[in-house]
Amino acid sequence: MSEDPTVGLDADRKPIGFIDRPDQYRAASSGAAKNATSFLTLNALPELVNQNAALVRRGRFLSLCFIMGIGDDDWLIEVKDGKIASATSPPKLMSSSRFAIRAPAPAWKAHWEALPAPGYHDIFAMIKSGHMTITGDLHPLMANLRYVKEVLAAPRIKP
Amino acid sequence: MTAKVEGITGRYVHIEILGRPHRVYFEEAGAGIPLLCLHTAGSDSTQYRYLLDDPEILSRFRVIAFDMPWHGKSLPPAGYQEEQYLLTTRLYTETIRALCLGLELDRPVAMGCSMGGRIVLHLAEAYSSEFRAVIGIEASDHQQPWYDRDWLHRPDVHGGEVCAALISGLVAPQSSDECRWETLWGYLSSGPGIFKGDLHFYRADSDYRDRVGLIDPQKCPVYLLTGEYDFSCTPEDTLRTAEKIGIEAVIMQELGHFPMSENPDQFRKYLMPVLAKIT
Repeated sequence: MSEDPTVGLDADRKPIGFIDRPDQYRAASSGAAKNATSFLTLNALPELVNQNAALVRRGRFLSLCFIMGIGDDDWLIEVKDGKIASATSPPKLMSSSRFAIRAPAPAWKAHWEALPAPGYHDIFAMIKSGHMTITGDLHPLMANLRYVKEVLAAPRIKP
Repeated sequence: MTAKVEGITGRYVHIEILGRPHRVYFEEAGAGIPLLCLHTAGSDSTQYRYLLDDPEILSRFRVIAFDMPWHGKSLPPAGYQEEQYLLTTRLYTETIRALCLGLELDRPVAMGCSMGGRIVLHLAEAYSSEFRAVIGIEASDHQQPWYDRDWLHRPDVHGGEVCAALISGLVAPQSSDECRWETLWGYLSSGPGIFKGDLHFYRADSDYRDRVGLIDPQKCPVYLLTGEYDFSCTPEDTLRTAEKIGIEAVIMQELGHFPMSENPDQFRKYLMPVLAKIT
């Protein structure tokens, strides 16, 4: 398993964002298990992005909120001048967001493998195959596409 | 000289394409069977720089790679400023044939990637006597679109940045950062609307699903190589095409949509056996 310090490890020394079984993901949707880092969460996303100065620079013209959906869990990602100001799940009632990117937990997990399998290595591969959806106003996404793709891939395990 | 100087020669050839004068940039190296290399949509002949510097290949082949008009160091034709660039099967075909004629190539092997892989299928079908063989890299008779190409050319989205970011995922994750970003540079630096204009051919004017069955691989051998990570021209697209032609296709491991530039060493493992069959 990764020893890379840029990937947070939980108590079982598994990278944050890693799930073993779908039932763990389902458990993560409820109650006390919500904040357990061994489930698929985006709690580490702000740190993973914000410590990457080049990535933050690429996103410096972007400030908005968007949704990353992991299965039934929506995460509201707040971007401020290229930094991730917050990643919150569930979003507060009536939160605004510009676009939403959603996929089942196993698809995200596959996307975040160090060497993703064919079909899971890129968001457009997953969209084409039906594993992922993108909805909302695509303009800010397309105008900042490299940045957004790299934010979405930030939890990837380093090879 | 103490620095490494590659043996590639770059020159310009003046040719007429559909009656219109063009100045086309090409690079070449090696001697023997002419091997004409066609770059992908929205990029240029730099993609073939590793082939052009491969002693084993150059010992048997005269490798020639050119920039399509509007791409790389080939300027658009005079008067382009009022035009929308739109590539068609006819324009692409006549560009290649005019170049072969202008350079007096004797029945070259045509090798193309992506849209280049698409057009070589047409060459094999319609101009089999002019080509010794064709090699289609990431080639198929048709493929399903996976994004709206209107995003590629509009004033409120940077064309080079969005083209590169769209196709970046077509590079396999095993590729080195150096080769990945060199491949993406072709898209980052392409002219406005050029990738989109190439895709007019690729998406709107090259559905060969009812044509590839007419190819006679005895007259013009066809070799198809597709990377397992290519979700644009998928392995399934290539295998379906090969079946219609009646040939075997090879699915290449740890490669995506740009084998010759994204991972030249890995691509070589698959290309060399094909080149060995060509005499």
